[in-house]
Parts: sequence; C-alpha cells; structure tokens
Amino acid sequence: MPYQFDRVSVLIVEDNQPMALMAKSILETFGISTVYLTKNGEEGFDSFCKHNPDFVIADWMMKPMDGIILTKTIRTEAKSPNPFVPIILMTGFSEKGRVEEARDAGVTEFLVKPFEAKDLYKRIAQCIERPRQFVRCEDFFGPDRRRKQDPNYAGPWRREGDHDIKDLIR
Amino acid sequence: MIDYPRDRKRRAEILFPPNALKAKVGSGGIDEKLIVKAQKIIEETKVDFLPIGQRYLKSLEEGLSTTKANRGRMDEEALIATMLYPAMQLKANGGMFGYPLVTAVAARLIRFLEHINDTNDDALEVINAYVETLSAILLMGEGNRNVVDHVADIHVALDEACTRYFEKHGN
Repeated sequence: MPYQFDRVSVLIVEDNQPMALMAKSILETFGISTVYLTKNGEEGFDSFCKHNPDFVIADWMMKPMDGIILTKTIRTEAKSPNPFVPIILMTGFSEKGRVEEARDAGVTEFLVKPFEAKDLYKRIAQCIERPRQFVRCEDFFGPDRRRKQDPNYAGPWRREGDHDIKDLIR
Repeated sequence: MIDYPRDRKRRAEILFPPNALKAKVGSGGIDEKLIVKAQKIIEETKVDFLPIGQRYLKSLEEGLSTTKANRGRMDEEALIATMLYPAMQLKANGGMFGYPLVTAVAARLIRFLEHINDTNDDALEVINAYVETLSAILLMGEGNRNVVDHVADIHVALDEACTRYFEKHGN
C-alpha cells in the first residue's frame, strides 16, 4: 500500500514565485493535496500557526525573515502549534559550514538547489521513515544532531549522560 | 581512549515526539512513476529565467560596487553577503529553469565568496571575472555556440583564478 498523502498538508515558504510553484506542483504530483504558499518567514510563521501543516519546506535566504530564523521561531516560539514539525530547508548553499548552521538552527533535512524530484522525495521519505529524537538543552532545541553512532568516537563528551554511552563503548 | 578536559557538560533532555506524519501516510513509499512524472514537471516547466537571472545579476553587480566603495569602512562579512545572496539565487534557480551553466559558474563564485576573508583588490578582480562571465552567459544564452564551445575553458580559467588567489593570499 503506497503512502496516503491525500490528508497531508505542507507549507512552502519561498520568495521566488516560480520556484514555489514548481515545488507545489511536485508535491501535488506526489499526491499531497493541500499546499500553502508564503513568501517569507514572517508570513510563513503566521501561516504555520494558522494551518499547522504536517511539514514545512522553506528557502534559506528571504527578507524580512529568513528560513533559519523561521526554523528557530517554529521550534521555540510559545505560540508555535508544533515545535517538532519536520522542516526541510532548500537552499543554494552546500558548504559544510552552512549545513551545520542549518542543523544548529533545528532544521530536519537539507535540500540543495537545484534539485531533482527524487531528491525532494528522499527528504520527505526520510522525515517519515527515520524521524529523529529531539534534544533540548540550554542553547538548542531541535532534531538530534547526532545522526550516526560512531563506535570509534573518542570524544569530547558534551552531554550529561554521555558517560553512560562512553562506558558502554569501553 | 582520550577524555577531553571540559569544565562542564550540558544537560540535554531527550524527547521522542510521536511520528504523526508516519501515522497519517502509512507505509510503502510512492510509485516510481510519480517521481518520474514530477521530474518531467521540473524539466518541462516553461519559466523565462532570463529576467529573473538578470535581476539577480544586477543585484550582484550592485553588491560588487557597494563592496568596492565601502571596503575598509564596512564589515567585510556584510559586504561579502551583498554578493553572496544574488550569487546563491543564480546558483539555486539557474539549474531549475534551464540554465545549468549559470548554476555551475555561480556555485564556483559562492565557493570563492565563502572562503575569502577580505575584499582586497585581487579578490574583487576574481569576483569581477565571475560577474562578467555570468553576464556574458545570460546575454548570449546557454545554447549559444560561443558559450557551448568554451564551457570547459571558462571553468578552467575561473578555477585557475581562484587557485592563484589562494596561493597568494592563503585561506
């Protein structure tokens, strides 16, 4: 039985209209019936609060509020209806530092533009099939940034409780 | 095993939110044909990229002019950002709308902008070469014989300019 996307709603936050419409068409082809379009992070957050979509696809660079600030707002703002919502950030950036910046903001998946339809589908499928636990600490709230468990990792151990993992590895 | 000395560790609360999306969509993925169909939408969407590309190119040229006029007086990161934003838009949108060469050249420009520490004369000369290349591609069109025949040379020339820059100025 294939994915039942007909009850799924998505919020696209993208200031480039042709790109937003193309992403909407791709999602509709996948079978997603409800797609909300907004042009920047401010409008995006308002729409997010109003519609509480199942996931969000946001561009990085927008004014007055960009995709990074939008992500932090969704994750931490008191009136956010779902701080755990999957957020796919699509951007022309691909440098490692940028990916880390997005990850540290609480982004779930990173999609580099230009992309192919299968790339977008893979990110969506990842959100469905491999959701990550969330971490809350003094300066971060978002999907766990540790995607892989490396048995050879030698530290540093940053979290309280890491000693348990360390002892297990030893 | 090495224990790194650290003053304190952060208290981290681990949360396991319910997978509402999975509960809604179920299992099984989607038919491969739908992905092929969606890809066709990307390839066959008729968007005239030229005015979009020219708008971002103009913004890039303005960023370069702003940088030339204000370096030493404004924050270097802020100046580089004036060029980074339009370069990123050219890279992101070119390839989506039938201008893969614009994407390839803009991607190299972004890589350069992300690695320079200041906007000295040599850096501005390299950036200017990218701006002129992008301008020529948009002016002549990616299908133009002169562009097609010289794609490899363009990439080599721009890469060599960056290499020379970093050999001289370091990373």
